[in-house]
Amino acid sequence: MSIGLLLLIGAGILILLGLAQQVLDRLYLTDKQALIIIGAMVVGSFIEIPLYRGEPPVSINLGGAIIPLALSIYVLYRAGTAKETNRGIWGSLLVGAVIYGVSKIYAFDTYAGFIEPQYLWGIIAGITAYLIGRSRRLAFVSATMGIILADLIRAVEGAVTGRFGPTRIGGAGVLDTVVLAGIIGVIIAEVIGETRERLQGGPDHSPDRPEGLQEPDQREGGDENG
Amino acid sequence: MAKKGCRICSLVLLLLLALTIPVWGETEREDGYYTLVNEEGEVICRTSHQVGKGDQYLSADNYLYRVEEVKEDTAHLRLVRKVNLEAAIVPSLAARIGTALSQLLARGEEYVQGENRPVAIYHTHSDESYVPTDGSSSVHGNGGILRVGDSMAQTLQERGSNVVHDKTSHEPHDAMAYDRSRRTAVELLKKNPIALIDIHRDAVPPDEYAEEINNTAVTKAQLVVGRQNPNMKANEAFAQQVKAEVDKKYPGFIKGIFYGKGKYNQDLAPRMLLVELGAHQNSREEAERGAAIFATAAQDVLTRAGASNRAVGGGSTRALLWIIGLAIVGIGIYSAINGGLGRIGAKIGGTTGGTGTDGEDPKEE
Repeated sequence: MSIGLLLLIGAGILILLGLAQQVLDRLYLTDKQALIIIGAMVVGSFIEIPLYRGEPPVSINLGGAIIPLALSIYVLYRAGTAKETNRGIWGSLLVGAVIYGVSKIYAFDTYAGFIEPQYLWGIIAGITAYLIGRSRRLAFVSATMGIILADLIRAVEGAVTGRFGPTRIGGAGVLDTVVLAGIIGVIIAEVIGETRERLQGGPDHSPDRPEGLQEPDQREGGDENG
Repeated sequence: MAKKGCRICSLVLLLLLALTIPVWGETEREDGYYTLVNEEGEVICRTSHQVGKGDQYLSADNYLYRVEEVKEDTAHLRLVRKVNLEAAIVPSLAARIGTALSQLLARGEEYVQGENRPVAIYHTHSDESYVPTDGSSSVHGNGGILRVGDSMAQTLQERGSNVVHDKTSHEPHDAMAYDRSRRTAVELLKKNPIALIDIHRDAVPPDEYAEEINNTAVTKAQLVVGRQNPNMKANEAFAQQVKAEVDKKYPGFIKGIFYGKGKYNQDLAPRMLLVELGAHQNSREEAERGAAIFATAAQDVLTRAGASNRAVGGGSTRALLWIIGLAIVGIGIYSAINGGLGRIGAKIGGTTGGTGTDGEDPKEE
């Protein structure tokens, strides 16, 4: 069974158990919305939309690229502050360039390499996003948009040189690297973030921490449902 | 000001990385090779694969070795065990019952159609070529490897099999080639093939692959199984099954099974096979004849659905059990990080749904 599919099934189970709540919060999604999106990605895997019919052709897959891209844009839109939106856009461009650059200099073949590249892209996105802004949101957005960007650079390169074959962005649908990198990116950022925060003694629970970070019952007049 | 500087630095870095020249991807190793020797000092294999401790190799005579130590260009092997490939090709009881039932229930054309599922062939490294005949080890858009795929496809078709040969270019030959060929593989899987073969050539000294069969020069074949792959046991079982079948007709023709670092898209299905036919310094004609020999000898396993066996199915089940085990460990680690199972239990028992429901933006990232 594909690693991407296994992770998605795993994510679905975690969502159903309510264990992925912390991650979903950061992606501004409810459990129901997340499950609907996973379902739409599976169904959308069978829909390929041509973007350029010339030579070499470029197409984009609904489940493997458009839905993850739309989710990334939604996350950036919901981010609220211009600072975070800018950071998301710059982070994605940076991760896209890093992935593209690493894909050129990392020797991977049956006779070379130390890690499967499909895992590497998510790891790069997760670490980069965490270094830029300690952000799980950015990890998802930059991993998704980074792979799509790397595909677009290759499409342009192919059109200029006339050498490469078709570019099928997210063409493997729910099994595509776009989806897997997004999931791995979030997992990496989450694990790094949680581990680092725990090693530092956990979140600050002192009464003098900023109001926005206080538990509901710490706030003056706050209630349990706040 | 610092923000502006940061943006300029990012832009420069972006441009530099985007303009990176593909240095490694299209370069074959020319600075020597590793010699794999067993405990008695016998040479088991020479390879340009990067060899490290823990790597495995199944030799032509079915001895499984593990690399214990690498000193300069010599890898010292330890014999793990002799593998009984015959056991790998015995159909399971369930497979035999299934075959018998389908023969009873389906008649004539229906049964033939069921058996006539295609075998699919594609090339992740569509530029790979053979220097003596193609002039270069990499030919853009028209690698010699495509002709080798043609030879395998033609041989299978001449013997009555249904073949889909996809020649999509996945260039450039960089670390994203497998991400691109994954899309082709998924497309081919929609045609419900019995087996999906990714044909490559190796990059080792030519005599490693040189062989003579019926007084004709051919290249041998090598199978590669990805280790970083949840499907590995199923893929390994299928590779062993193919080797056992070919060994019956041409013992030694498959020079071994290499366990590589990666997954080569083999996580997509149990019957995904990566075959290397010859190396860059062998001639393409020899590799084409090698492909025909391979197709002739392995046809039964590659094209007959009923040739499935217990090992391939068992491998899939084992992979699933591993994933469930890893998921339990993962939840354990996650719960430890998040303050214990009690807190997780409280979460499960508590509200489901993110804060998106109440429209409040989460403050923490």
